[in-house]
Amino acid sequence: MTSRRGPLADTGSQLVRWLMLGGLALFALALVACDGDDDGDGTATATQATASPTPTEDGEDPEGTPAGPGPEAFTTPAPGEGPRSGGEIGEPASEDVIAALDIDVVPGGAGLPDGSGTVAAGSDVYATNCARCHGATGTEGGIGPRLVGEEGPWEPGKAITIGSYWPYAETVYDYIRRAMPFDAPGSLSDDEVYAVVAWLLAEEGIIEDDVELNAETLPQVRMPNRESFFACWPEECRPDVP
Amino acid sequence: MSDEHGPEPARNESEQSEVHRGLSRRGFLASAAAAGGAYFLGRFGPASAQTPTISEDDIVVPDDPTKTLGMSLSQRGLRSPFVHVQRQINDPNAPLGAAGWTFSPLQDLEGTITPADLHFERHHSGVAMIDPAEHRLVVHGMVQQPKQYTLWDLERMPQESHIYFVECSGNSLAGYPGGDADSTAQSIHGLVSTSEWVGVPMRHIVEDVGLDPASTWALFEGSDAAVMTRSVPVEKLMEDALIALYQNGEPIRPAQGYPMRLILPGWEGNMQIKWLRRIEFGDAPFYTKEETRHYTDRLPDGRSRQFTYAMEAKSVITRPSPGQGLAGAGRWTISGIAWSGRGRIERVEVSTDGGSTWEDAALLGESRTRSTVRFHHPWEWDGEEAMLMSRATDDTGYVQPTREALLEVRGPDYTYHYNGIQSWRLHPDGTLSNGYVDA
Ligand code: HEC
Repeated sequence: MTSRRGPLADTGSQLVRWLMLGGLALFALALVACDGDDDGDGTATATQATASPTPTEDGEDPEGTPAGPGPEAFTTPAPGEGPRSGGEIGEPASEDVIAALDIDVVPGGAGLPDGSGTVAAGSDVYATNCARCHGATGTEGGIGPRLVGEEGPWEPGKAITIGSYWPYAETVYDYIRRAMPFDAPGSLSDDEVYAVVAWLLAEEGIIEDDVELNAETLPQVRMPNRESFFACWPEECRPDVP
Repeated sequence: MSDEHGPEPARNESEQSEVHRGLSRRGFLASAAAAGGAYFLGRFGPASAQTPTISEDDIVVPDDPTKTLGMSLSQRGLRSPFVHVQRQINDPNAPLGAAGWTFSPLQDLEGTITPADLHFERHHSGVAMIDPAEHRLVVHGMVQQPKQYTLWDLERMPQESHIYFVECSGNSLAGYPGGDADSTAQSIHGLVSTSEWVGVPMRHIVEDVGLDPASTWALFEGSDAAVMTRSVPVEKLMEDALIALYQNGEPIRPAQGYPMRLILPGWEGNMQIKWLRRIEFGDAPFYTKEETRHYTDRLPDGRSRQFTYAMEAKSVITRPSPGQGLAGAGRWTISGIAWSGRGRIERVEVSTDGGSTWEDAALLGESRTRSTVRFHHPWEWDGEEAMLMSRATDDTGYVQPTREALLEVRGPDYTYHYNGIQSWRLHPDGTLSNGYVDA
């Protein structure tokens, strides 16, 4: 856990800090003090241990832990606690902050990173990172769903694969980069993602084996099921059942 | 749970056997040394003094609770050992255990609010555990001022409280291909839950960043291992979307998106991004995997509907339902829930003869927009086979369709948004089964 000390915790008197952040502890101590049955350490220790943390006599935190409610208590800070409290609500998000999160890739190719990947390289990427869950050739499935091996456009009765159903190659790139491999998301380089997407599309017969995918070529890929989708917003398609 | 209309539903034998009478499990071990027996354990015993948080192992059920001191104070409560409520796990990608769902125990719940620990789950890459001090919500794209907010920033913005259901759009999909004789209210319909959500209306965020009026869509992104994304129309954001921080009085639990999640009242659950970390405003949908490969509706002509958002009116009888049973002929209360993603439930009708005749059920408490309402219907069972059904009508005038009518229009490949009438077959021996499976 990272400390979320407010300005008061850094500068203010320990008394104020107790009142604001150690309310639980004080309350617990008060209870102990009123409890005629208290037989010494037993009850008090148990109570203190859970109403964390209690300042020591010299006002220092035991073990330097931040004052504040324990992880089981409500995380709502007391008034005055929390980063930048009292001032503006929120702060401007810098370009760097945005760039670090802004990973979506959309139809048309906006958001595609630099780099490239070949079908041949993708075959290796797949075997190393994907086959154990999706099957040796991607047609089998296993722990994860089947990925390839059916031609589009989709029609009733057909299996759903990248080739038979997905409308945009950009979405394949976006999804694999953000969420796969399932147990190590984000571990592939951008080039490896280009490569494995190229291999999957080549397996589906959508691109030739010698095509290299990059930010220019990937948006040119036409997925066979693309025209089968129609939007039900803002014009709704339901209610549809009389 | 005694019922004024008749005897209690038949109980599962195993329920009783797990309860510790006289001694707790932990207490049994302790008592050998303490020789104090059950009397001391609740108040003075070593277990409770050292651990003010009581666990199931501490529970003692005395023969006469008026002659034995009760259990001690505790920091967090427990359910009665006689109450067995739990979610049912479905792990299609076993043994991963992280991409799947858990069904809420509808047949064991009453009223409308779902206890937070029993709220259904649907995760694509597990439950993210997030330190709020490290978490930021970044809002950017077609806005005048891109901003980032901490949890404490959102705490300081104006908030609202609403009771809404959240329903997975795949809920009840067992109705499409034909039911399973073993299925229950929980395993068919348990992907709906209702909570009080408190949080910041999206329109305040929209104002704060200065939305470009040309923006029509926003991408919402989670901070889980799926980095889950969905596009949401700005129109919905301005109408009633919330960034929820609290659920049923406490901070949202990790499984529901702690520290913050999107709530889109009445719309399919998948869009209501948990562990929310980023909102990007744009002027077109972002065509994420969950609005192309998944959560699209396949029609008999091979085309697929996209952006089908509202969960239409539905109802289900939760008591009696399969797994429970009626102990014999006599007076019973038929109980269930109804909800609509398009508004308020106006009316629920109940049939006990397979839909030949219908009677109005009583709605308990207030019927709220995009929320569940509880209905009760007193009934005299003659002991013969019966077919129990419920049918909801919402304030748009929409009437919950029959299963036949739904399948007729949507065909066998439609997966989501099933809201056909559910029927339970009540057998003369008092057991129940899914009415869509031949007896
Ligand atoms: C540890 C197992 C595992 C590994 C390794 C793995 N995946 Fe997956 N994959 C899954 C699971 C589970 C899902 C389903 C996720 C869900 O339900 O949201 C999935 C879903 C997918 C999908 C979406 C399929 C669909 O039709 O919904 C694609 C595409 C995919 N994986 C590609 C890959 C690629 C490419 C790799 C290698 C770079 C990879 N996966 C590695 C388990 C795995």
